[in-house]
Amino acid sequence: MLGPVPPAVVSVVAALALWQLATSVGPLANLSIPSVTETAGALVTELTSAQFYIRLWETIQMAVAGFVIAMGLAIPLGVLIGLSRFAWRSTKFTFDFFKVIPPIVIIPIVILVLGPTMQMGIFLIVFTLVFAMSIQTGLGVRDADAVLLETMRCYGMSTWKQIRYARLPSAGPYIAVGVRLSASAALVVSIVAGLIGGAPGLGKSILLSQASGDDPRTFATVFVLGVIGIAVSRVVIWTQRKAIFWMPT
Amino acid sequence: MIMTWWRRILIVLIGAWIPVTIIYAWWTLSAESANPYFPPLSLILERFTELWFSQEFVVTVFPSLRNFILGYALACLIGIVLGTLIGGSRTGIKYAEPIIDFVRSIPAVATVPIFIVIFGLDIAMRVASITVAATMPILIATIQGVRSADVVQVETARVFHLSKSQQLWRVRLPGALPLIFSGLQLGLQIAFIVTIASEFLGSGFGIGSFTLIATESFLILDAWTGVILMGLLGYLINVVFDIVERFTLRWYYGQKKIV
Amino acid sequence: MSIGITISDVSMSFETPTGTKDVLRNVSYSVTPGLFVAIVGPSGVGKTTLLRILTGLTKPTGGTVQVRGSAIEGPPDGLAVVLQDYTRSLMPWLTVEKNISLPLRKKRIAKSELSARVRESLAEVGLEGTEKSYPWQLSGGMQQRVAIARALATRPDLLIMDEPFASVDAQTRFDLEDLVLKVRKDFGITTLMVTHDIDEAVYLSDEVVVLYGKPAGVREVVSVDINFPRSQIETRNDPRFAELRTHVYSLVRGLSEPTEVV
Repeated sequence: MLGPVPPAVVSVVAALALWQLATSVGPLANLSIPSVTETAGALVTELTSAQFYIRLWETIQMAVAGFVIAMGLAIPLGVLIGLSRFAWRSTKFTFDFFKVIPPIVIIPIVILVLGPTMQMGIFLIVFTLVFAMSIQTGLGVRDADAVLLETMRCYGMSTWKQIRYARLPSAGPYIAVGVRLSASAALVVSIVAGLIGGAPGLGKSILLSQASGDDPRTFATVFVLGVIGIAVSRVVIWTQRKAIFWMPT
Repeated sequence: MIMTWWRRILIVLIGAWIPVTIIYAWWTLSAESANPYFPPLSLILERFTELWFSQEFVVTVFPSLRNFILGYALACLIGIVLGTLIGGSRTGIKYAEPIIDFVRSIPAVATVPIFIVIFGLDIAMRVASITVAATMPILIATIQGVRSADVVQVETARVFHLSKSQQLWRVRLPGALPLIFSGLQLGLQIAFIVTIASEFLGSGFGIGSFTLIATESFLILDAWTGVILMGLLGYLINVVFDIVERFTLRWYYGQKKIV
Repeated sequence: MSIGITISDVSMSFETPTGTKDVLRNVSYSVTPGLFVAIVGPSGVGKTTLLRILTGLTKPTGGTVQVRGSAIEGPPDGLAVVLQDYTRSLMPWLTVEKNISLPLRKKRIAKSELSARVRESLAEVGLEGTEKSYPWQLSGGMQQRVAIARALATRPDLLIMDEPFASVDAQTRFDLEDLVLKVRKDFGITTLMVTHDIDEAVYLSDEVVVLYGKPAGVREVVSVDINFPRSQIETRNDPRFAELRTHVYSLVRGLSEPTEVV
């Protein structure tokens, strides 16, 4: 005899059953909405096609490239603006402004200039991440314990040592949080670049299946994106726990 | 440190030199531009005033704003009510968590094609995709907020015989507000993104649609004005939200400033 | 109307990963209406656990707590509390005035009566004119005064305080102790207070209950036979005060066997 059924299983099964019922006999039956079985069929076809893995790989490539470039730019930049009060105040308004501008609004222009290419996707990711990450890093550098800094100054430690032993360690946890959020965001923007801008990858898969009216495939691909999203957030959290064990998440 | 008026002005000036420089550089560098994608800024601004200080603004922007406001308002309502119900029950969380976790893991923009399949290209599709996408962060934040209610506050309320509904309205929900607001802000940004995305994907009307069509028809000036207008709207929405939040949570920020 | 509270054979144990942990065993004690009682004991002995049982927030695993002749099943009517953590027990989103009137909302009190009560309570604790302030704009000692005012505004029959002055500085602590003596003189509410400060316990109380042991029981109930009014300078210089505090101290430290102090 197995123990009681876990609630997670119950609600997932219930949700799937509801979907199936609604689309086969229920109120949505007359519409052309794919049922669970149709979606599952499309999912199997997707997962067994080489095309799918090529697209997945393209999405990941774009996300990783954009992420790496953005971090490479934003972390040093963030440290610099965090160290100088003048630089911080100078960039504050500009960075805040670009931070809250949703990247989706610049897509039309970016498509014009770069076309529906991987470079376009990478540019979009960098644009999305770089401002928020710079601010985040700068906040961390500025958050260094004032008492610690004063103590170091009293002991006549050089500015470099103050940066090395007080400013950067204080920025560490901030950077870690920023990196985690950026990794998830990079993946999302990578998909959006495909879906809206026609850049290669899984986003484009949805765009194509939607345009050709292949609804089960649209549903299946979106489903896969959800699974990938969960997987990525788990992996990022897990890596972070391993990498910086002192930091509570 | 006391902020004197000239100090404030100085800070504003320091914050302003970079944007001013960028705009000046853009203006001069693009003035003689022959690159079709980067027309002179002067022409863009001319077209901007021509388009958006006219009837065109009402025709193009209002539908977008209406969908946005409707979808976001629904998301706030559903997110907070459902979040309070789920957060208040231990079993509720266990059953709801996997579903919520899955739905929120789908990139918001990628849910739009699903709603296009279900609703076609009408307003219901746009509002539904905005609502569902924006509900997720609000729902999650509300659940967390209601669950992490301060034990001492709740017990104090119990000792003084506050009824269950008073405990909810006067203690648990106000205490959860800072967290709920962080969800509301994220929801707001997502709602705006999905508003635009639903117009990019399911063409028809609205500012997103206008801009995309302009791009496809190589009306470069129109495309630039569309992008600039969307950017400004996105920024303004955040500014308005910040003001509302600062006002509603003035007790929270006041307290934080002192501690 | 002050009421008594009777603790009969109260036991408490917790399930921990390493097994059952007995905290209290067969605690019995009866509080006479109108008295001020301090509960003291070594750190971690279960003072706060006992207090939580008395407020009805925690159910004991054995025994009963009786108020007005029947066992309590939750916070009893007419109870008011003052907790150590004033930053958390006062609602930071409400002004002082609204914090004080929060528990009164249920009692269907007219608006004019409500604001009169708020004003009276604030006057009693010496905080006139702070109605519109937020608690976090006040000092720690003032916040604790607000908590006391909130308790008084409910016109309680029984007041329970958990280490109420543990988080304030020494000078403020003396002021708050004298405020509590004044409240006692003005209202004569039955009061139970947990404290780790033995001087404070003796200074304020009619009776000091010493908890001791693992699991803890009542080691001794020390009757404080020092006359009221008491004052920080005279009472603390009283030889009787020194005797009693030494006695309670050695009980708490487990240095002496319980004896009848003559």
